[in-house]
Amino acid sequence: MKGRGSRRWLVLAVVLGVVAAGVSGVGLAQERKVVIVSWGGDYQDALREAYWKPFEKKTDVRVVEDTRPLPPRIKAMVETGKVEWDVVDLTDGQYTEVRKIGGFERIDYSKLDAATLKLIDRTGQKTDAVMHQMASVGIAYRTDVFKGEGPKSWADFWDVKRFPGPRALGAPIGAGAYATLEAALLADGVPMDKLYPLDVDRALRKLGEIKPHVIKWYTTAVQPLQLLVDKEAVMVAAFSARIFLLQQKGAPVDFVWHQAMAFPMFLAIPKGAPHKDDAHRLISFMLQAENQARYGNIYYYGVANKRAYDTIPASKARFLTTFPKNLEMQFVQDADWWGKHAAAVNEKWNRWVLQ
Amino acid sequence: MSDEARRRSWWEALRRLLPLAPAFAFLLVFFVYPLLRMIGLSLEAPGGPLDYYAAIVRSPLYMTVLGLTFRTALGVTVVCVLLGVPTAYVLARTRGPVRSVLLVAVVLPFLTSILIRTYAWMAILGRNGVVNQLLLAAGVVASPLPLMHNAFGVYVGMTHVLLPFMILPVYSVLTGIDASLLRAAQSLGASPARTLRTVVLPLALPGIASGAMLVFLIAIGFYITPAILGGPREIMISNLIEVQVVELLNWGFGAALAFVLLVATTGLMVVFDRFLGLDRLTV
Repeated sequence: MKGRGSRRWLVLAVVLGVVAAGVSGVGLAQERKVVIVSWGGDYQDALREAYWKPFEKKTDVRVVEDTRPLPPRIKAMVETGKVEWDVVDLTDGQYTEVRKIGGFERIDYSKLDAATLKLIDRTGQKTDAVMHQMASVGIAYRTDVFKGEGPKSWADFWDVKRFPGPRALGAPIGAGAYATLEAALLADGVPMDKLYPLDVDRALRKLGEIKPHVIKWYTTAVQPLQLLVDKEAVMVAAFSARIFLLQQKGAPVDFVWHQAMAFPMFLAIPKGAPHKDDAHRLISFMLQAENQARYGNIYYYGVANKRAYDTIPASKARFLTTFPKNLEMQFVQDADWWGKHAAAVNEKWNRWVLQ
Repeated sequence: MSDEARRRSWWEALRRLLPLAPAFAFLLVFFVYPLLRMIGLSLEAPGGPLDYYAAIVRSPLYMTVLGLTFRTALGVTVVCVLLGVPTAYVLARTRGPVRSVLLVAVVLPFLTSILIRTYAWMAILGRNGVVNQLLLAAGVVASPLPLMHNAFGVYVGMTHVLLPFMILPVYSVLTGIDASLLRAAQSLGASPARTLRTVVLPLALPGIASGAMLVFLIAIGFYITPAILGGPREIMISNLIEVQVVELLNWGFGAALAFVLLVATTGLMVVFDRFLGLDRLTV
């Protein structure tokens, strides 16, 4: 009885050993991969179709995906030295927070395609991150509630007599991704090029005017969409791409480009990433004009490569943040200002809300 | 007692505690150590070890929100007692398949995530939600009632999640009450109401107290439900901690806030123990 038991263990151990050796052998032969982390859903589906599948086809590098590269997760990986991610996709607010703790590798620009880099705005080329697209936050409203004439500016958003109905705005508690303070200052008559440094007290005073009409100071980007679709609010601040996607599905909503806030989204390499070389190759691939054009034709964010618009029809380009006609109506968020002041604004904000 | 005997009794005590070793080791690794790390983190302020705590005390925000958190948790606990105790009583008095169905109904919500249940409440309580549609169609109200994005919505959502934690301990105490005590009360001429008041409720009190404590402790840590169903003023301390950790990457300050919450909660438990006695509780 005892003998048979131990023999069974021996057999099991041998089998496991063989399997393990086989797996690692296969691994050694084909182990070229790069791990990229984005935000899931149809957004990540679009990135996969436009960039990652063609990249796998063209190279022998497998693209492994993960989701939700939240700054605290990057911080935890970098500080414990167990970095599993090679490329992360971040808003400029998130990028600024992680940069503060020195969480990124330097981008080696000699490994990126020089001709491609000329087509990407200089401000999008940081020492430790490259812009791959721009997104916008602006006024979104129900077209079935405001038939004929909808709101055209933040002053209209504040005009509850001409445009009655509940509103929703974001709580500026993080790195200010929801443009709430900027919107208030614009509604108060501050010109777009004079917004920064933000006059927080003035913004809060102006927000006091519509406070009774704001049913929700939301804290996640999907909340304003839900509120608009459910008609809990008739006017919100929301992300342009999300609103246009709803529009395509037949929802009676529209987005206002005038006075919207544009902000870059960056690709960056966490400090200590295991596959730095292939991370650079993937980033370089994602910036090329033809690949950016493919992405711009599939999805609704603004491509970073100017040449991409050569092959995106105007009927599609009008939905994109970086389409020149759209971009000139917007302002660009100052992430550096937010990086310095986010904590103080957060506390001031919470006290104001509880007043 | 001789040295020999003392040593032997030591051994006895140790041997009796030995079965607790795995649980103790588990707590040490997964609770005590992280807790100590967290406290350590909260003392790593750039200006000095107690800087984060000084900032918390100096700003009126954090104590206000801590107060709001405790108030909400207490309110939800009261609602859970008022709804949970009668439910547990009915549950304990039914027999057979009816009781099984009712018990499953109590436990079933555990199988769905809090987030999904909270979103379901949005569909029910919204301006164009089920309740308002029905009230409008029946002509009871002229315009939609504000059932959500305020304290009411938070109370509904949190009570829904926490009610089983109230019902189950009370139910287990009630089913353990010796039926002969009830018969004795009846044979001595007590009305059903008097039996309930003088026999059942006093015996059920430990269950009610432990249920209330469970609900209160879990309620203090809520943040998703208030963030979705609440209005501007429904801020819980956990929301502030989350922003410090996730958005601002200020883990030290978040840790200090968490530790303040822990101390305040522990303080409340000590007070609770003085007046009710934690060792008398049963689950």
